[in-house]
Amino acid sequence: MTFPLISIPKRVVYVDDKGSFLEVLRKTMPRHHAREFISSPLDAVERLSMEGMYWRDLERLLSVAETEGNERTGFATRLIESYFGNWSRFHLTSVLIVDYAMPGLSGLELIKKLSAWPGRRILLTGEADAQVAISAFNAGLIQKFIPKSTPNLYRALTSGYEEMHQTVCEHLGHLIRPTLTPEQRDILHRPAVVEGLRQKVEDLDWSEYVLIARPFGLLGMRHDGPLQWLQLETRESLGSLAEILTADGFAQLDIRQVQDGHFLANAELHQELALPGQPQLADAELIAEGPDLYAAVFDLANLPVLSSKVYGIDDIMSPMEEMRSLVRDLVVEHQRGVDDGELDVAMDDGDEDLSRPGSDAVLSPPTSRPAHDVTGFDAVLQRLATTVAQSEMHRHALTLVLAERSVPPAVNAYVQAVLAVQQAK
Amino acid sequence: MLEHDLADDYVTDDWDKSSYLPEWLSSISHLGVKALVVLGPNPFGAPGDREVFTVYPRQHTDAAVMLCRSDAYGAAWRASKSPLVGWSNLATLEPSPAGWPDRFKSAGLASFVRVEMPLPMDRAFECFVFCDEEITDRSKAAELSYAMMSTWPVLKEAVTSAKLEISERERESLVAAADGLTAKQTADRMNCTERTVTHHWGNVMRKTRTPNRVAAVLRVTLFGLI
Repeated sequence: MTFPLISIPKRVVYVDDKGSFLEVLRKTMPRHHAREFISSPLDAVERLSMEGMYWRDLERLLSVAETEGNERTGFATRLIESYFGNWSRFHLTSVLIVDYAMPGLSGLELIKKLSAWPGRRILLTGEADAQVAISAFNAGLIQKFIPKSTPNLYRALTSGYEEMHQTVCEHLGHLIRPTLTPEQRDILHRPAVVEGLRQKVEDLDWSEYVLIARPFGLLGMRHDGPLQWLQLETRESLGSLAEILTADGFAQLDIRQVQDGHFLANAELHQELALPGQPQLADAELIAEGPDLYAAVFDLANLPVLSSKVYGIDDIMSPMEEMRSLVRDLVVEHQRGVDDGELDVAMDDGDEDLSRPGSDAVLSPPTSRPAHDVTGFDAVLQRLATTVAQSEMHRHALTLVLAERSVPPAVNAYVQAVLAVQQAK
Repeated sequence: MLEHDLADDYVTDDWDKSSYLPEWLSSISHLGVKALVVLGPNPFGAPGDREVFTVYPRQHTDAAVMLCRSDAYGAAWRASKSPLVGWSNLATLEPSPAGWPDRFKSAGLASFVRVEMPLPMDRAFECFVFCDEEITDRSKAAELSYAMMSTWPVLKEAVTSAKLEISERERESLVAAADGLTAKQTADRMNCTERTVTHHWGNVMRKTRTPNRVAAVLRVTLFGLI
């Protein structure tokens, strides 16, 4: 397990000539990142090829070697000017999910036309296409194939593209690696540090970040901003930070607090970005032990950066919005089931006894359903379970949603069961 | 009249805080000196950019700004290898569209001596001392120049420190940079961490508004700070 040095905003493109299937995907696949659904393979080739320029710009930006104190401005300044302030990063598709069987241009033919596009490719295949997919995989054309008949298509797709997105980010991160000091490289490989940083990024609900070697830390932002600076210090570097604060005339009391790992100060970033006023102190948190890594968060307001929300990617939802949407779908599906007489009538009486499949069964839908049918009560409930499993923030959002709206008791029972399963883990 | 905000763009010094100027002027008042104007390079500008470093008494601020903005002396004068020292009576000057001679005349001044103090990179300080009587022979001008030159080191410190102030540690780090040391070597010399060295350098780049270390070293050299 590694910690990618950059995490670009996630963007997934689905291509299938069957509009109905795309529509199902649009309704059901997670919405906390940008998505695009394209029904014409040729359109897809055109759109993805256009990204080439943006990818090259990003690679250039990340490849510029750092110089030790020769320039007044460094990587942080360049990132803010050319990356966080730039809309083109929202047009970087990290994962393409394409159907194999399409008339005109097949999924593989489409992929062959994208030789210069650096994202990862997932091929959706029918029963008869397995051999084609395997040879495409061996030829390096695709990185994964998923049969459409997979029992749990939703989960296969989400875990598939999450993994692919991670790979894309790790690859981009290699461009930043040369700027790291040997000590930084070493510490970023330690499992405790990887876990601590992952957790911190999740807690901050960042949809993107970039690691900077000098000053050491992460610039990142949520989908609705603002830009934040997560400054990182090791036990050893606290002393050098204190030395800088002494040179900058900080109070002795504050300097001692920094030395002891209670506060961090953003003196270097403040200087580089020529921020107004004095450098700030923020509470430090020990995010990993042995080796010790301290982190503190600073909001960087009033910088010319562009969040995905401001840019207007309206498909993106926060955990709260996503949970609202899922609970709403769940209630609708439940009502439809009641109308069709499909669901146990007892549930409608407010009977909270779970006579229907228990929370474990929920994770694998009945085989009688068409495999790619990702709608229906069970399917929505399963999406809810997968989404809730993403983070503590999603679980918290779900409890808030349950408090803000009325939910039929039967539905509530299922949702509580899902939450209980998560808490048990 | 020039608007005051315009004057403020050119006059950025803090001479009010320095008790040295009135003292300095009274020390040569027996020579009939009534006013002093020092023009110097804009620390952050191109070679030709000059600004008013000092004007005393302050009632001559507008006239000094007019002189500063005119094409009198300055970069072109230096480029033509003109003398470092010279004197003129305001009455005999060609009428200037910049209007500064008239402005000084109407304030009761009659003549001035100009002494140039060269700096690296085509820059210079230009000191003008104004008298209320016309200068009729060279010996008076020589005496005034002598007085200026002999007190210049002290005067210079008073007029430059207000423009650019760097700490002792920052100065040491720049000397090391000028000696060609790397951050690591500088850290060893200064007995501190490399991180602090780059921070010192960054501070000076920010103060001198320069984009890199070489330019920062040159800027502080310009002012004789290292």
